[in-house]
Amino acid sequence: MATQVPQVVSSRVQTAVTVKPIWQRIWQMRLAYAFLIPAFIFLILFEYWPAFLAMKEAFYDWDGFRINNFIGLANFRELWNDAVFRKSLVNILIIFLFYLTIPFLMPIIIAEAIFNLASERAQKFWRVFLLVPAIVPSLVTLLLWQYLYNPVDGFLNTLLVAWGQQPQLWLSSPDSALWAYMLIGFPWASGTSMLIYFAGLQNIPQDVIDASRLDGAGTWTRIRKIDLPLLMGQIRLFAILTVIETFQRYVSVLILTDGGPANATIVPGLHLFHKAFSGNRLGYASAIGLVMFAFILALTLINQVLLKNPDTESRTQAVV
Amino acid sequence: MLDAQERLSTANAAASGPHSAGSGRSGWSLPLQFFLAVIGFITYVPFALMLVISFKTRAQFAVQPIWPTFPLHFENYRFALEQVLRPVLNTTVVCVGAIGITLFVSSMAAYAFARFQFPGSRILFTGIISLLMIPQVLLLVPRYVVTGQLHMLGNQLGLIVPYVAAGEIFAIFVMRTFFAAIPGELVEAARVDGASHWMIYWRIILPLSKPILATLGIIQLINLWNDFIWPFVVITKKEDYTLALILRTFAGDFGTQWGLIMACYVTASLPLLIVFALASQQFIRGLTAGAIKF
Repeated sequence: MATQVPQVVSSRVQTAVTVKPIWQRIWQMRLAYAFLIPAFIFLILFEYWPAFLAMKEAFYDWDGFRINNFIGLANFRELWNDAVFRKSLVNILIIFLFYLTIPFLMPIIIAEAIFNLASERAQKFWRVFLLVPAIVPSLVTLLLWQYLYNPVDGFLNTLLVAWGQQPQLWLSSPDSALWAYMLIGFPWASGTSMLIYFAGLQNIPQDVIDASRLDGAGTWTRIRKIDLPLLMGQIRLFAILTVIETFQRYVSVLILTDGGPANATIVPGLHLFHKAFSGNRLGYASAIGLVMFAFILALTLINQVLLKNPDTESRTQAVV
Repeated sequence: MLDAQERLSTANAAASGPHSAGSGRSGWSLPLQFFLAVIGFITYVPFALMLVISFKTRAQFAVQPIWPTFPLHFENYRFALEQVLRPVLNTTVVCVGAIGITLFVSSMAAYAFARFQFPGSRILFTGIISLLMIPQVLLLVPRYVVTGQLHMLGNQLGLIVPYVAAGEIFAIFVMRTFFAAIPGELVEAARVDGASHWMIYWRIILPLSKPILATLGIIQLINLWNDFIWPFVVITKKEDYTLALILRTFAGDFGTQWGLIMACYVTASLPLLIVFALASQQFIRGLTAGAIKF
């Protein structure tokens, strides 16, 4: 990708590139830089400079205002002994491992189920039907689950009581909060990943499927031997996205439980948020961010190695 | 990092739907339909409850919190509209501003990358792409400080300007590829006729790029419309609240009046659903491409 050369370069420009000294070439191409300047003003102010600050201030005692003292590795040493941070890492690991199970498999299962329907109209119906809930603003969905879990008026406790069971505290009890949080979105059937898997299935040439049938392969064999291998690209993609998204996840926790009760649902991103905006310890928060960055990077690389796809590998390297 | 191009083409395939009309056709249709119906039913339970409860008074909810009760109280929606209208307008202003500026500045940059060969173009482009790897959570704190230093905290600019910066990265990347694929003869012919680069960009490239601009706009719209955390730290006055911010206050402010709360949730969901109804193809393309960028 990154090696791709723009297709049109006027011949005049090309001669200039090979002959003239660099400052002259830059001057000659000043129009190109003029086209870039507006975009780069935004990027420098709100991407490059903050990224630099985040990495630098992790080694500082910083309140974002007056205090800004270099303290070496003190933030990281404190982080090493930070019980809340440790708890948040355990929680995020549990959440991550859980998300790799049913929530990860469900879109594949749904895509297969729709793909195996005989009627094209039914296929289209189910795809749209299961997509619409994903268009409801994510915050509304989250708040609806907050209602389902409401200990007093919530739907789940209404059901439990109607069946003669004990009502539960759900998100409000340290024992159940993490599980309740992870079960949000059940049965994880709605969403765009299902569409992408479905598109992957549709890209399988029909004659491959027909040939497998002629060879006497049943549906189950076809799924294992043809569909799943050909979906590896998408599976790998969503595995990496699960890593990246899960480890950064904190906004939904902030809204539902704010990490409580008793840190039962604390996650690293929320710990960072608390340190920065309640504790005014921006340097320490930056250190948390840097450690999270390292984690995400490492896991992404591990993921790439584990789920290697020979077809796309060379192209992937070109972008990195 | 993943090959973002590969991801975008996956998204396009997902959006374009059943052109090849491939199918497993396994003869398991009936049990599969049943399975999908069960899953679909469970998926819709929260949303069905939202709709049913939104027509209830407090008394009706206390008696029957699950099934519909009559009469339906449409006046809940008059109340909801009062609550939601201002935040919807605020969010629309922010989204339109941010999306417009993002598309404008990124398409200019993408034009430079696609149509000029200038010293440093590789380095600058790689620099932009590598920003995709930096997790947003790392940037939250320093971005907040920078926004404060530029005196943008507490107003809409503090939302729009950082949103533009964050949205540009993916947009430049996608548009550069798209612009580079536009046939060169078209541009050359215009050059021969004496058109300036600005004219070519404005009169030829941009009009040809409407589909990709629409897709990128929708991606940005979905992201910004749902964003909670940045308005949460930037916006201070209640009259500036975006939709996400106001949504979170309802359950606290209206206590156990679930009818009103749910009516607010329904009303707040409508704008995006309307956009989806009007441009579903574009929307699905944006949704799938947006889902697979970082």
